[in-house]
Amino acid sequence: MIKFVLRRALSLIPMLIGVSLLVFLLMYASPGDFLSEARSSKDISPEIVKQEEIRLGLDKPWYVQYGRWLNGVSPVKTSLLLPDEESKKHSIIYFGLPDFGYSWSYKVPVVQLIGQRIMPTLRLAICAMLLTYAVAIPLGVLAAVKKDSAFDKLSAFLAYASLSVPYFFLALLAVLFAAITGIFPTGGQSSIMYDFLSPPEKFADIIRHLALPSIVLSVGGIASTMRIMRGNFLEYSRSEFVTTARAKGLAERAIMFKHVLRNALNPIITAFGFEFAGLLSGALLVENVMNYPGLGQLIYSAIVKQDQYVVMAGVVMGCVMLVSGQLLADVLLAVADPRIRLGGERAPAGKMAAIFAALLLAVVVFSAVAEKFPETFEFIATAAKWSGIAFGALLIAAVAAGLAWAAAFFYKNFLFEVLKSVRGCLAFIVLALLYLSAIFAPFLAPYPPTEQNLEKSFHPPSGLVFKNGSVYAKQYVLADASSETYEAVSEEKVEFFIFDRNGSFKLFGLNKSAPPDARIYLLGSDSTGRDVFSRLLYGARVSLSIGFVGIAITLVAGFIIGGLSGYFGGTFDFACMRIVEFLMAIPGLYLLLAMRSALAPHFDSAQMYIMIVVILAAIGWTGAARVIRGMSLSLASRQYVQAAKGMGERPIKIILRHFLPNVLSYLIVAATLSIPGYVLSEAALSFLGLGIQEPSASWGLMLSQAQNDTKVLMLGFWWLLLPGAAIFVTVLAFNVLGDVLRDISDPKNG
Amino acid sequence: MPIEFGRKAAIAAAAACAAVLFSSCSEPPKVQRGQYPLPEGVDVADCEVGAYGGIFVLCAPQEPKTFNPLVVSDTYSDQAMSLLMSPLVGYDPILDKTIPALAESWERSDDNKTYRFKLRRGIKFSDGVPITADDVVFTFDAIFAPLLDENGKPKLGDDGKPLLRHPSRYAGQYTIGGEPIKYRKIDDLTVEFTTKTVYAPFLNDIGFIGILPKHKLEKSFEKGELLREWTTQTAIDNPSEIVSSGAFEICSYKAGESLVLRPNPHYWRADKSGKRLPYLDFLIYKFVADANTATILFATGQSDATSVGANDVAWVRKYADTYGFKIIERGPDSGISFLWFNQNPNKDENGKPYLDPKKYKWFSNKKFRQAIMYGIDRGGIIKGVWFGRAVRLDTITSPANRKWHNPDTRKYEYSPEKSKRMLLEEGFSYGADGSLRDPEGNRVEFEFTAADGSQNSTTIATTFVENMKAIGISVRLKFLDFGTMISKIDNTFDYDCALMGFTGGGDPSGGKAIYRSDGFLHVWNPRQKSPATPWEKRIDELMDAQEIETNESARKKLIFEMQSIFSEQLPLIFLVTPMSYSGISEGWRNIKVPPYGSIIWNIDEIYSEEAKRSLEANPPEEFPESGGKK
Repeated sequence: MIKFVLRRALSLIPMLIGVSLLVFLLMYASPGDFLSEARSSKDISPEIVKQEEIRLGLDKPWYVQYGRWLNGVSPVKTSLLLPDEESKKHSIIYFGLPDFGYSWSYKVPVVQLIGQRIMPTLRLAICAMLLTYAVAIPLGVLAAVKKDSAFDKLSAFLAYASLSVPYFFLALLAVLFAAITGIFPTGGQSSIMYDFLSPPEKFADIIRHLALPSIVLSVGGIASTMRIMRGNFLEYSRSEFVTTARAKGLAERAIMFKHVLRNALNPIITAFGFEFAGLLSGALLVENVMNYPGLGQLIYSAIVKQDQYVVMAGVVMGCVMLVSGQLLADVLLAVADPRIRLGGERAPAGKMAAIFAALLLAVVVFSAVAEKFPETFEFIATAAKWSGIAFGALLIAAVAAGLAWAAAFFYKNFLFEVLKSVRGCLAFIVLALLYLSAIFAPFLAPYPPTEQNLEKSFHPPSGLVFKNGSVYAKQYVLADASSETYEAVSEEKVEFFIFDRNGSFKLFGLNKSAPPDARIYLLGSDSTGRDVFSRLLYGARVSLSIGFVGIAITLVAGFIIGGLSGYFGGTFDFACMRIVEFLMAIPGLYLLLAMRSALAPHFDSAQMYIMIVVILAAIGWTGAARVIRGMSLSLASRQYVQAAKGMGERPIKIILRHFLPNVLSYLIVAATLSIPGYVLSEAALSFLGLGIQEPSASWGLMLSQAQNDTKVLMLGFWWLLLPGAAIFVTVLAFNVLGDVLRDISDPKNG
Repeated sequence: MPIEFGRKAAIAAAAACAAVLFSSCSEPPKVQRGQYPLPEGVDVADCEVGAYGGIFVLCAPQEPKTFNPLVVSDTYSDQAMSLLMSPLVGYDPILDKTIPALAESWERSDDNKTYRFKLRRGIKFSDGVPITADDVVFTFDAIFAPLLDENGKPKLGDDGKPLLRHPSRYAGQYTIGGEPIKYRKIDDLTVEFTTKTVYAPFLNDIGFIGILPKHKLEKSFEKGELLREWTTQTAIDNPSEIVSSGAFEICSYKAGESLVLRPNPHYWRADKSGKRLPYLDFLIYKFVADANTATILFATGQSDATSVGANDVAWVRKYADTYGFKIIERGPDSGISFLWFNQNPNKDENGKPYLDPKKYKWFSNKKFRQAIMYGIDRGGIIKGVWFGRAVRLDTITSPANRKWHNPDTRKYEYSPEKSKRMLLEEGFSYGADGSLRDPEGNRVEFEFTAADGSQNSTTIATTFVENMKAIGISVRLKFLDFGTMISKIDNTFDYDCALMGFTGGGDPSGGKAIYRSDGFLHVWNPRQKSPATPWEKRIDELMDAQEIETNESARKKLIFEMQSIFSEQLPLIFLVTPMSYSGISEGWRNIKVPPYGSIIWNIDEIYSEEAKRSLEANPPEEFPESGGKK
């Protein structure tokens, strides 16, 4: 066991170097630096800024900056990289304690700074974890024991529902709840009077502050863990040893708790490691929205401020947590299940060294090139941009073709089955309606999505009146500018059409005879008087398609790489899987943030859509690649594949002809289940202000208005929360559909 | 029945937990008062006599990054530091004049270049060590100390000037006429400052820095490690190390959470009855994620004072009676917001112009800029976005700055027709599709850059796009993070048009970097070697003249002329300034609301009604001996 742990720990080193280098390069490539704020403040002179730049080493090329950081962190150091004064104090190679550097904004060693913040985050993560298991395991067992009862169905629905709520939105609502009711604090990890409390009160105070953030953080985990638990429990309760036990006359309670439960817990324990690592990433959003002073908040603001060393330390910590989470899972599993032996595949040292050397060589060559030609970065960025756009265009074509094919497949194999189940039928209809309304947005929307009317901001949804066979829309005036409320003018109503006879090809709108300042807001208006209904429809185009495009990229990349490495095996497989592990080791949200700020200046608002898809897909393909590799490993040994190989068929043909049909069912199910992830990620990114930009519309972006503008919530402009509801419905429908599909394609589970 | 028992126990435990969770907090510890006699040179505050007690809670959207004033930092750190460090002179925003602080009095030489400050007798830092002229000299030594190389010689920068050991904003602020101000100790309580040239706002500027304790910081100063002193970690581990000369000292600091301050037992101010100020027992800063949370906390009675944005005032008012606070309208905000066109005529090192020459032609045309100004529906923005709670901004100084704002500058009413007419007069024309074309026939289109994040900048940006569409100009929006945007406008100059704002208030000489053509925040064309246009030259002259003009009304005239030029030339297209509001909870006395700025600027004089009532109900049996004045 010790040997196993040690080997894992050693394999961390190259991974950490790789991840930190990647993040460093991304930060370096993003324009602006830590001193940007100082540059723009009117009382700090440029000379001072210049001097700070030299002091922080920001005037040096990136490889010197990175080298210095690495030198500081590593216990074996060289004086060659140090600034002149300091290099004289040391010999060329010397030893020292790892030093993560100073935080530039706090002027405190990074380690100290992280020390200030780590306890709250650990507390939050552990609390959320305990809450997840304490709630999910009993509920899952209960649902399994009472299978198909009302409780089971209710809990299934609640699980879907809570998996479908965007959790930044949940956090937002929680803050609002706390602020208005005053039962829970609105943020912080302890109250203002904390110092003046007695120890038990101190403890209670901390728990009170932990309550809301842990609930928000654990909602998704509870739902998924509960479903997994239920599935496992059912599977094991049908297994042979249970029948045997029953036949022997063992008490039902003993069977359930001693035999079934222990077995059913295993996958949960494996999931523990991943959850543990994921919590740190997840905590970032929750900590920021809910104002919980943990590491996530610190690192997020460090990324925004480009406080380099703090970001680097944060990323390193994230990696270490992820790897140690996996390690913990393995060890726990070995303890819980005596059948499992630690060991697993042993990384061939030679190959590892070769890959590492190649990486190092690439870095050296790159830095040499970068030194000779400083424009390289600019060039790479531009190249990346255009190849990204070209790639995007190609993909969209591929997606169209792929979708048509998948749809045909879906129609042939699934559609009738889906429509047979009530849930599937409902989900299918909801999704069909959503996509149709996005496609026909110009026909359905009364106004263009950017048209403003500054006279009518925050207009409530217009009431409709039916009279003499026509529909009339009530008109409103600003009744009280100080409290921003509108009142319907009882006399004034304007005729409203539901299919246009004026020839403008619109479904809804006001008749031509309406006065020019009359407006119809079916779902109210936003801060500049734009029609929320129209924006929802146009926003749906972004929010709904991003999932499809993203999943297409993910699955194509995952299929090709997973398929090839399963087919070829050997070195290719090894290298691919290391890349996959490497990408999986990077805390996703940090990578997103870093990539976004590095890429943003090269894209304008319209291209932002492609950029987001590319970023999301670049992170997302790894999971699919792993699963497909596993499937194709087993396929590769089938006789018909061997036969095709023997007949000299080209590998790509084998993969397309023989592998694809076999994994297509999986692909469709995986796609349906992962689309919600894309919809939510887009929403989260746009919500953070990092995604789709004004004046374009997307659901996440529209929702961010409700967060940034407190009056939306406090004055009850509820219609601006509708994008949240739209996200919820979409994600819920996809989850239900995916679940139905899974049941159909794999009837064993369920 | 083990399970039954378990269930009962669980219920009992849950109930006990709930009882503890929602139980009320215990009382804070008593603050000891009057243990030290008042200094001989005590400053007697001209305020209502109050009573000791009370906890004042403030929410700040950011935490201080340091407690060391020599570290280049942000306004939030400065705010916290101003409570811990007293400067030589203070500023009374009600009287709008400089008032004595650590210096009891001062005199100015006849040539207006030498100032002599007399320190108060007997005043001490919070650790009981006297504050003397040595501390003042040490403070300025620290500001101007040169960076030394290993041979002990000053290190020079690329420009041949010596580098500073502690590069801070103060070195620039106290460099007057191209030279650092001179300072010397006359005796233990007297210091003298000399400037190279006459500098009118000297008294205002000398109050920027709080006096540092030499006895605490001298050692690290000698070692060159002064910048590593007084970090947030010091405040966590050892708050008493951060020795205060201000009204408060640090009681405790929790990263990302709160800063608790308690009265400085050696503070140099007292009230008329001889009680040492401040009255408050504790002043607590609670750090929250953003300004929105701060507003929510105030509106739900969880903090005592805040500034309320024009956007939020409508809903905050709804809670006023429930939570017992009032909202005070303060008039227009002192900051300014504007957009501007890049007018940089230079080329980058590859000989490529920063700005497309055809765009340079448009942007450098005054009439074009004026036409744009006429085309922006600022009235609509005020009505739609701010619900009437904003005013138009016509010049570079906000109307909030009553002393220096020129009300008679050129005004621009919204009129797309006039805007179109002006463009036609300048040789622009409209295509069949309604798009504007310049005299050479190019379509007029440009990119508009804004920093992402704020809701208001987003609405202004989208409105601008729509307004420009109405006069045939196509504008593309580009949102960038703040750092990227700054590097564009400060370094790479590859942008067309951008949106920004500056905080305002105070003496107009604080805006030098924006006004002067060689200023680095002269954003449309910064750091000019010599003024590019006659009007920029005139502004430089005006700025030079006002600095040496000690007669206030003459100085005002110069500043007014500068503002008129800005409004005529429009290098910045001024937008709107929202009204500002302050909220303060009921039950605090001695609140004096200044025209702009913080509502609790006199936090040391503020006391709680409740404390006073309970004092009157049970007067102490004997007055504290040291409380009375001799």
